[in-house]
Amino acid sequence: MVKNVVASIIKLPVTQPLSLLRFFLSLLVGLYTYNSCLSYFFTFKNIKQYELNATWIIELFPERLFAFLPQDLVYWKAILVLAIIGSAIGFLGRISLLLLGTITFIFYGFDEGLGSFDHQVSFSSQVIFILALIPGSMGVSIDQYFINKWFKKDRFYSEARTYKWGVTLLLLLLILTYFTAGISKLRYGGTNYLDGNTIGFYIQDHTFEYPQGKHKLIIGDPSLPKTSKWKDDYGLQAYTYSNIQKSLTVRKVQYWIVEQPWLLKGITIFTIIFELGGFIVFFGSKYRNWYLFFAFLFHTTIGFLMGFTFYQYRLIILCLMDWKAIYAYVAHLKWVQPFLNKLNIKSI
Amino acid sequence: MNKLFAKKWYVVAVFTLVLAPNLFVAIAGVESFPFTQAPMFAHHIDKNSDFYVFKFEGVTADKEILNLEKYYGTSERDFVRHFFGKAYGVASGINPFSNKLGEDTKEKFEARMRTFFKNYTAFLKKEYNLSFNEIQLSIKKVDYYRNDVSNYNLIGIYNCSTNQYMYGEKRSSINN
Repeated sequence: MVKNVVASIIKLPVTQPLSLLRFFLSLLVGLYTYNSCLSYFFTFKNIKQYELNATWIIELFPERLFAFLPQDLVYWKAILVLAIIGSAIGFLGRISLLLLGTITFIFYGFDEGLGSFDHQVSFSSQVIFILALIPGSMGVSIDQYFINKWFKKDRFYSEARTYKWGVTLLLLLLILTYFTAGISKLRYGGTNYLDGNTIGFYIQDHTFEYPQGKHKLIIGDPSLPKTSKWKDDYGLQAYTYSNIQKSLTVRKVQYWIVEQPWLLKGITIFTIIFELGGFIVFFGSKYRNWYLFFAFLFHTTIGFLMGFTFYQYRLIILCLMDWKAIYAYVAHLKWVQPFLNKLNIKSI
Repeated sequence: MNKLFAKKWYVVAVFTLVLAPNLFVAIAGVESFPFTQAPMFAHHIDKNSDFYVFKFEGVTADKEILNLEKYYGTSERDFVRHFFGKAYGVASGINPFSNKLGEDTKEKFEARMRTFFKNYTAFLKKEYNLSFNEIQLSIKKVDYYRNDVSNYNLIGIYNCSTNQYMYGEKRSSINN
């Protein structure tokens, strides 16, 4: 019995990768939203000031919804908790995922208006929404349990293996996200971006050590023609982003990196190639797994240097790997075979 | 559901629903959650770059000036990001921090500034019981390490009574 359970769990990344993704991502995004975003809105003093904040989805709903009055908090919490639990365990799973996805679109859309576009949740919230629409995401769920019980058929169980297009869509969205980031660097930074100095700035810039009033830098472009400077004569073009890493140990690494111009150039060029080259994942399992492996390292390294967790990105990347190919490789290793035999795992 | 997943029209519809808005913002160069053209860390910076910080000050009827940094109602980081991204906008090209297509015009800019300052002055009154004749907007230049390079220069004045924002060519009269 125990052996079978262990064997089933080991096989899960191969047989039910999207169910695993649904379970963990719903919890990660949901709890992150519950703990940070929701409470933040209800302590916010200045909602009315942000008349210019409306994102496309906020414009779809009545204004009253975003008053965030104290008496509304309990309802928002209840809806969010139901959506998180329903999505994670797969109870009314697809409806719960749609609800959780929509809530995150609204909340973080509002957060964008307040001044903070969360570029991690922007991707993961879309993944949650997509999981509601694609096959394979409900393979292991309460819904599936009842479907099997009532219909006494296991044909639904095979949905993850029957249709690959769900994984293809998620992969396409991931590499499109990277591709867009790569294009933006060239669009706004031009070929100068390749000198590595931009990444060098962000690696060493400890934003929160500066006093209020000096946190947020605006970048001016002196090369703009006078006709483009009608607002202020300075040609303000963008704000800078924050490095929130506070570890003093990491700081030593940061300072060492920024003193190596060749390394900064290398990191920058690698980043652009990596971001633009994601379509390689469709060339076969080997390319897909290597690319996603580097994507995992990419987020881990940025997280280490800049203080971001990237748990959501890293989870999605892990679940999108071709685990069948990985298992096939690992299963042939001599030292692994006795372990698999003990669990009666002959093939995955 | 399984039958639906096998329908070609459904697959095409889901792919379009997901990819079309992402492609649109990437090409148009705008963002509106959750769709983004990923402008983070994209503008070129080096040690010779020009950096600026904003300052908002309230001017009373008695000509007393109060730095409003403690009265943003949020962190300076978020206040300035909202102000620059949604109200002030970029000097040239499409604003990558908003969902507005097309380059900025004076009419649109002035309308946004009026909206921003009207709501902000109402907030200052309600939350802190602060009333001003004017709100002054200044910037100063800082270097790569945020050391001051210049003093603050006035770039605009919002008149709380007339709900007008004066800037640009009218700045010479402001500075006097």
